[in-house]
Amino acid sequence: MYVEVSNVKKSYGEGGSYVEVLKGVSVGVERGEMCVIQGTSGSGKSTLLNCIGGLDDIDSGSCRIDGLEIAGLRKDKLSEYRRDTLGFIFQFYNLVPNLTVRENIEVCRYLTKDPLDMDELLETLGLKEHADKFPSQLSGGQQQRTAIARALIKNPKLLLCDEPTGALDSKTSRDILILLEKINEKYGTTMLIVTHNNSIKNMVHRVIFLKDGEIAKHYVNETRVPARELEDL
Amino acid sequence: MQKVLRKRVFRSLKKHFVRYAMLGMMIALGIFLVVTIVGSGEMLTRGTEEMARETNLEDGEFEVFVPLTESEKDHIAGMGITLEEQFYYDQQMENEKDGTLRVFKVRGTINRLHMVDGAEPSAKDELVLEKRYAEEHDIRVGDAFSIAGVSYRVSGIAVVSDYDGPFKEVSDTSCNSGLFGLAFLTDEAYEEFSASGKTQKSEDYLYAYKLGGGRTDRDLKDYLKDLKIDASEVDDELFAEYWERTGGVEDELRDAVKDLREATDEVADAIDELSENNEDINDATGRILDSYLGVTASTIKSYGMEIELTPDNFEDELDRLADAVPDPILKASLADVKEQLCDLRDYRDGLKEYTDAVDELKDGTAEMSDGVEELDTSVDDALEEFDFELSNLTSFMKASDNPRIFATKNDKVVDIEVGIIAGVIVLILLAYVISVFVVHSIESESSIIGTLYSMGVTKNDLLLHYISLPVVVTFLSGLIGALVASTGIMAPMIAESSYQYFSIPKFSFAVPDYLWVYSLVCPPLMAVIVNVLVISSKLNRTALSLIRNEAKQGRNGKFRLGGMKFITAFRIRQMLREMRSTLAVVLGMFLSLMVFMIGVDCYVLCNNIAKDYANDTKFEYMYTLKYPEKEAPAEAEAAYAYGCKKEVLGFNFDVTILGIDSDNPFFDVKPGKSKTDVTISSAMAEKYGLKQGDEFIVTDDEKEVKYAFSVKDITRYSSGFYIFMDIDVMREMMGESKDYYNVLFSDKALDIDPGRLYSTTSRDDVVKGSEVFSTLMMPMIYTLSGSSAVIFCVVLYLMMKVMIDRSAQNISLIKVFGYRRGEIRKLYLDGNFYVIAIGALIVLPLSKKLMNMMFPFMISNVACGLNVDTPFAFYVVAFLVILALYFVINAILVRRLDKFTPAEILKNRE
Repeated sequence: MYVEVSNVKKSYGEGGSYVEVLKGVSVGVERGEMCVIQGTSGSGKSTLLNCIGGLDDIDSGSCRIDGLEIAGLRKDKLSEYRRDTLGFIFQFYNLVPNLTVRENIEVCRYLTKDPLDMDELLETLGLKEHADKFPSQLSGGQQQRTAIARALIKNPKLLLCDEPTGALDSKTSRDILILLEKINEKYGTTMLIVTHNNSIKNMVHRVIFLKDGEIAKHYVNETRVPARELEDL
Repeated sequence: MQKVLRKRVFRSLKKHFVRYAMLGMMIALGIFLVVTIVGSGEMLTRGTEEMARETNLEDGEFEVFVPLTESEKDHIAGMGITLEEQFYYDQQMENEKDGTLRVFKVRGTINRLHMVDGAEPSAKDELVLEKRYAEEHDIRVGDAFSIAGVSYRVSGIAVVSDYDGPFKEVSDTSCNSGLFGLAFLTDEAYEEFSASGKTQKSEDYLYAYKLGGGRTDRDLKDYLKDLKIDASEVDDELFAEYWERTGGVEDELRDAVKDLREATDEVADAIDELSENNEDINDATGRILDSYLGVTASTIKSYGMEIELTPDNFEDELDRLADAVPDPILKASLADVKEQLCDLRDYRDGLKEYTDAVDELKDGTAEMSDGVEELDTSVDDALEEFDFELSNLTSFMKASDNPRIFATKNDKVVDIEVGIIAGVIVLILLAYVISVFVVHSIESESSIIGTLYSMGVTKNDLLLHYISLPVVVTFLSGLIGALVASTGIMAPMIAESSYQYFSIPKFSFAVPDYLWVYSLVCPPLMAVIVNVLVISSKLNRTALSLIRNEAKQGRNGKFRLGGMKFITAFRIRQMLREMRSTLAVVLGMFLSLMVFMIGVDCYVLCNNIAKDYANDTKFEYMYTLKYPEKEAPAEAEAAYAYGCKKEVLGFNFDVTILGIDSDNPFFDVKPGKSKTDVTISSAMAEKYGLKQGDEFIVTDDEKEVKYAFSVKDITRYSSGFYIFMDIDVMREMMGESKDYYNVLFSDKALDIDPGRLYSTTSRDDVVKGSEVFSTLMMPMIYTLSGSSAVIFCVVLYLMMKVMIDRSAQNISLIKVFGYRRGEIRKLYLDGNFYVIAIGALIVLPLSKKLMNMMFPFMISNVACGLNVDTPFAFYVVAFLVILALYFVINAILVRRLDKFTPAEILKNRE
């Protein structure tokens, strides 16, 4: 397994405000797979994503990415891990407002010695003509595509997407999903996608349902539907 | 609504307690320093004013050759003016290092003693010493102290308001209490001292006066000027000798003119007599010639020739006759006769010319006689006009012209002005810094504000809400600063240098009312003004725009940066985004440097004065003479100094017109022969802003005359305001004799009778005096430099911190991407290096330039040049210090970057 999560537990607060968010989650994702993590609010899906992304510590258990145990890693090692392995896409894009599209992408390009070709990526993502615009001059979809380009420029092995279409209308959502699908095919990037959207599970290789901090359902999708054919986005 | 919002104010204060605490401390510290510095100045000012009232400070003083008569004193009393004799002797102490003591009687009415310790003398073997002299010589009450071999017990230590600045001479530029002090004896002891024969100089008859009866200084002066004395009344041999040469020439002149008139009369009489026989002489010679012609004609007729001879035809007739006769002997005889007749005729004509000349001489002598008579009358008139009678008044000085009076107060004018201005500068800066915080809050609370707008909350409500915390913080800080300062905790330290220079008692510190108002009103007022100006535009956006949190990225950042390197581009973007904070940093640097430059200019000025005085003073001794000898000593350079006044920025300073020879080795001046085109000293050029070609006027208050000059040249001379002229030209201009002088410059000590001197100034005195300025100003220089460094550091720290805080989300984000601490520092902090470095490169010379322009106004009361030239090395050191401070702050703030975890970015998920 490329991503191997075993018996991961994570809790917040103390005393009366103590909440156990992940209660011994174990799950695995193969290299090159697109995996959706679904669940209701408070089910622990984002916490799981953050733990895999090294943004949050786990209380116990193991989290190995491509054989690297990230639980208990020092901050600098975690930084290195994120720098070398991960790409992040957020619901609200989190673009740096005072940087242009190109400069936002440069933020991540700077971190690798072997980045993808900037112009090709801009072309692929339909951003070429917007390269010198600032985020405030872009639509939501264009901003999210910029965020994707930023995540992809360093050609990450693992792409973590937290509600990537959560702030977008259905047409734009479809465009973004088609793009992710295309990237997966083109670069073989492993993707973990946290979403509320029930349709997205139909386009991915693996689906994980979380409920109250535990795996409620986990299956490999044998009947994948191309993103462009998804309904009710 | 305000009630609800007010709760947020306290929560906001709690949340940002450290930030506001630091700012509050800065404001409190600023107010503390302003109140302490200004308050100390006011303490000394008001203290000396109060002492002046308490001791009945004179309105002025004057000196006379001989003491006023009873009737003169009665007349002055009748004018409503109170007089008190304050006669004194200047006594050189046995040990030269102990300098000169000015011995007075204890004063009764005017300029009374203010006892610092002990009591006024009650017995003739007791005396009171002036405080600074006593301190310098470590003399205490009860000690024995000898003057001219007589031992006294020191019954008290005192100060007097008329020697607040204990200058030996009013022309001195600085005081040296080690070499000059005052002693006060009982009347009896003074009389005994006076009669002891041990006094080295004649007594100086000084009177202090208090005006009354609506009279002015001018009224008194006019009266005194009219008091004439007979020179013989003056009990001073040196004066008598001098008077004989100067004022005494009147009689000689009269006698000379009288002699001339008598001689002229005698000559006229003689010429009269001589001319009386002119006609007879002329007739006689005419008759002799006629007689000879008659005899000659008769003789020729006897030879049978017919001839008629006249004085006009005898030559032609005799020639004709000689041609006609054949006999050679007769021919020769006729030629002889003709020659003799010609001689006789020439004799007659010569006598005629002589008698005519005698007549002319007579007329001329008559005219000369009339002229001499006229000269006699004119000389009489001129002598009347020039009033060769001796006026008893030798000097007259109003209290306001006396540099000894209120010397402390005048010195503190600078401190007070500088303190107030520096305080306002700092408050504006801190108010701006606060506004940056408030703007940061507004931007981060944009959606909340939008929501409140949408619910009907008005802009004014929010404005009030957002300025309330700065107003409260600044008010409380001002109050705390003023309260701490009011304890007087640091005031003695600030005032210490004044206590060690001026002759004043220790005063108790109290904050004047206006400083309370300043402390309590200025900080919140600055906060209101700056914050309203800055916040108002931020709150002008629509509710929807605020809710959407739009336009976070202002127009400032929207530049295309082309193919610039990522790191460089990122830093530029960051700087543009944080333009407000960046501006505050640069502004902070600028304003703190302005405060620093006040200190620098003070320091540089003092330093340059000390250096320039030493370099420019080429003479070793300068003797100002009261009664110069007829001829200047060969080893000295004689000069003629004349004191005038010139006003600048409301202060009237002494300007000396100095007549020197063109080869005077002590001044680098080649005075021309012009009365108007002059060379001035660099100190004067700097103080009065004069340059070559400028015209200016100086006033002679004594004669009520103004002199206009044009600047031909400026010479490097820093220790005084001088106008250099050729001494002969100046003597002529001032109506002095061709050998007049009153100053001697020399490169070695001269043996001059002390009685002839007004003062002796050595090069050492000048140099040491110049160093005093540094000592006086150092506490303020340290305070200003230290304060400016603290201000700079705090502003830099707070602004860099606010930049980091504003970038918290982005820092978290790039941490998510895997950026390391060093890389984040490079992106978010190191860009500030360029802001600081470039800012310092611009702001350092700019602030110095501006301060140089403002500085003359700040020290407008100080009589010195304005050489604030600063060596280039200073800028280099200041630049390096700024960078060093930046690196310290940077190192502190790098740790703050660790506080932002990657998880922060996940909070932005609504």
